[in-house]
Amino acid sequence: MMRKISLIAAVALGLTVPLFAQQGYFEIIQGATKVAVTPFAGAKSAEEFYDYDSGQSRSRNPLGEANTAVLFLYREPAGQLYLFFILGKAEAGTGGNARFTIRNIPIGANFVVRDDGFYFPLFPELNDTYTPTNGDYQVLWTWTDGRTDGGVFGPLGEEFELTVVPETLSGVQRIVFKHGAIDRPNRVELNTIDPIVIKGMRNQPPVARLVVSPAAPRARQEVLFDASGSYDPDGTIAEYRWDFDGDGKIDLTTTEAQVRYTYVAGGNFTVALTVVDNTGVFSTITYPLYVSPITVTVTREISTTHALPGTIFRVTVTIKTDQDLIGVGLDEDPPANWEVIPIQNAGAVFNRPYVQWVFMDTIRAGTERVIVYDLKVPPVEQLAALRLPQQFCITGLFQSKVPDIALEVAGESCIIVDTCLPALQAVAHLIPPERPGDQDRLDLRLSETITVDQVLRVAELWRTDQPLPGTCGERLDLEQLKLVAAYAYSCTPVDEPLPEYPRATVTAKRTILYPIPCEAVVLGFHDSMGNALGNKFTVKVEISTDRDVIGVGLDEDLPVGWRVTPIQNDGFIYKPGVDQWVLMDILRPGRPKTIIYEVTVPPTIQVKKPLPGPCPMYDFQTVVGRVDTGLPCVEVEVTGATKVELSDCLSVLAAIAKWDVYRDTIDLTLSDKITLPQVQRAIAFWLEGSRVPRTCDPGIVDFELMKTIIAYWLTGIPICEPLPGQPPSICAGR
Amino acid sequence: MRRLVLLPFFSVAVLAAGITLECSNLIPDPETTVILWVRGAPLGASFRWDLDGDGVFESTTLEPQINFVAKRGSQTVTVEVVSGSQTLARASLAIVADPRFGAIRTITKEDASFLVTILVQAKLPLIAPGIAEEIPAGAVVEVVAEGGAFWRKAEKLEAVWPLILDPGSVLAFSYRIYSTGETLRFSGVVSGYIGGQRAEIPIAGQLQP
Repeated sequence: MMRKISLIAAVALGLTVPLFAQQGYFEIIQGATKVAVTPFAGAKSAEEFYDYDSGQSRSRNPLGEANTAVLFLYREPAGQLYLFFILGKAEAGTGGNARFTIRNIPIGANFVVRDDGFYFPLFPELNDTYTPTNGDYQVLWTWTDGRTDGGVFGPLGEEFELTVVPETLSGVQRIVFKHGAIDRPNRVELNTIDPIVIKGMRNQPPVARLVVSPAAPRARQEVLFDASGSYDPDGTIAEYRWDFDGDGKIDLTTTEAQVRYTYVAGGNFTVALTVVDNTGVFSTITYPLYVSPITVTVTREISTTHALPGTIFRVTVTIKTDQDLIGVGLDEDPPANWEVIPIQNAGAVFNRPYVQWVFMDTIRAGTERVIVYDLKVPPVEQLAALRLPQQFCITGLFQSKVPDIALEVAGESCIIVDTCLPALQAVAHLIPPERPGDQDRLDLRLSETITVDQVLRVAELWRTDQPLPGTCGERLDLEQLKLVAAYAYSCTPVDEPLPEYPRATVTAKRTILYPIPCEAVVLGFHDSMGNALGNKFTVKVEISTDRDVIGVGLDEDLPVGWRVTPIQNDGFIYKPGVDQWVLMDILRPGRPKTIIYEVTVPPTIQVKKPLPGPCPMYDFQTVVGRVDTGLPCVEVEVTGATKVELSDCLSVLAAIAKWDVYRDTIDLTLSDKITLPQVQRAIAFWLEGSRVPRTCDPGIVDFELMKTIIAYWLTGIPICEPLPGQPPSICAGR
Repeated sequence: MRRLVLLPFFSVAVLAAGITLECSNLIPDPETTVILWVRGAPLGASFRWDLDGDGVFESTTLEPQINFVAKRGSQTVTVEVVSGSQTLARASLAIVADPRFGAIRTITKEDASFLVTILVQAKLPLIAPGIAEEIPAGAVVEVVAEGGAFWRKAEKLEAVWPLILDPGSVLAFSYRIYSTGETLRFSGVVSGYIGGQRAEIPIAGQLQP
């Protein structure tokens, strides 16, 4: 890794290094590296200093280094300045070759010493070339192990800016520019790729110095930058260039040494000051500056995003500071002709005509002041000239004299006046009736956070299909209701987006419980009073989640005409007619909810006879449903049973179990266990060979079934369960 | 299997040691006169009869016998044997008058148990005859002879014959009952299908040992 000495780094702490030599000023520039150098000065001529050993084809100068291209400036006793190239070192290192192009060469400059300036006829590959072309000079040096190559280029004069371009290098691992004292030379490590600019100037650059006060400023506080300590050793400073934020762009150029600047926000900044002397030579220093974040915030909150003509909403301006503020004023500018009603002046004096507040005391650091006022939207007649909806905005200015701060009031500033409110705003500002018969009211001064009372009220409005006040008759649907719950239980104001909630896995499973176990829903059966029996079935939907979810909706879709009677809502609210349930609360993991409802199938619908087989194939209808949540937004289908089998007849076994022996007919309310009288009835059917009424084909008690009936009676097992030692029915799970 | 048992349809209730109450027909047709008599009573004893089961003795006889016209259904007949002012014995029998069928319970005292026998007789073809006996609380029942019936013990002791019992034919079912109770009272029904209609009537005979 190369070590570089950066001029910028050298002055980074606000202290410049005097860059001058005995005569003139010199610097080396390669890319971002810019270093002031001092040419060597010695008693020898340049040629003597190079100390070329023609016999060995090498320089004996001690500044040479193995496998290194050493460059330096050398001033002869006579004052002439030369640029030295020494490639390799005598009796050290390997051979190599190097091609350089020297551009922008000073007038009259040439190689006064050429290492291997003669021609090797036997080893043409070792010959060096020196080729001047159009103001450039191209040299190619080739040397062998333990030898050197190079030369002395000059004289350069005192004002020059030549460029040495490394091109093809072999056997050269680094380029080093040496300067200072010959016996204790300084080194500037350079790369072997980029052009090297070597400048010589008679004039010295100026010295930049900077003082910042306060040294630890705050945002929005004026900062004094004082460069009056800067000077030019051999002239005057003509110009100060300021880059306050360190982005490399000059923000301000002055002839004055002092400037003031205010940072809008806090942060770390690198201030750059460039001083330019009367000859155009410049120096730059940087100054690291930490600006603490703004410590005074003035924020406006408006209680609604929408308002109706003639309504009143609330504006709250909160002033927070962690520094003492003296001479504080707030100047609010609401829309013209809107009535301002001060509610809380926080110790300030309120000037109504101008809507201004002035604090006569000091607002202490670490405290806050809250100014509250209501704004009344003009009635609709006064807004007649406007086409609604129309947006109106409030502007405001906060000022402090000590410290001198002026800033616009941040936060919410605009509302929309319309004839209808958005649903969420209406919910957040709803006042439920206190007594039966009272009307719902709206108060736009309420906060935008939905309360539990409001949740319950809108759930009731949804359940009873009533419009939401203030919304021009809008009725909430299930989606909106879940959203209401999500806003309410996440404590999110309705004018803000809902927070991100981790993804949840919600599951919902439906179980259908038939009126007669292991039978279908049966139609055409009645009790002794003529009421339909068997046409009702029960549905259980279990809903669970692996993470908290807010606002859960269940939407069940049943065939037309099927009537739902909720049995257990488990905290959900049921809306009749649409068969929807909503949970206006949080569903938590490990605490599933179970909704149970009964469905009455119209007893008059026509069903097809079941197809006989090992498992009767019944006519059927389907029930489908969906569960979705408000936050996070999840939507899943209800899994589990969807098919509702329908029949107008019973199996013979079920008919026997449901046989009312005293009325000698089927009674679906009887249990699933066969009794002695029912066994006797079955024996009678068997012995008589008569058909069992209301049963599906074949509808008779045969020998096998008779034994089965007796077995169920003897064991007391319900008819849907397998007899001991027998496998479950292949039709089980239907 | 159809098991026919030919037995006279009278029964005996033991009133006291050596004193018994007997009936000429415990399952008569309705409006049939049956004879009740007490055997083994001492000379000079009188007999008080409650023939309608209301707990009131309507008749007192010096003879140990009384004629009784059985009404349709079940009636419990009770007799008390009195000597002077002392009641010597008291016993009851259930008489069930039905033109279709009937069943009689007899109870025999054994060492530590009672043997109960129920006879079912059809007067008309009786399909799927069955009996259901209440099991006294705390009692243990053991079926001794099922007589071809399917039976089970649950809340009741139930038995059913998968057959048509022809008129005049009799089925027998007997069980043994163990009980630590002071007083055992028996009740049960016999049932079946006749002419496509279910019929169920109480079992006649002894109501207690």
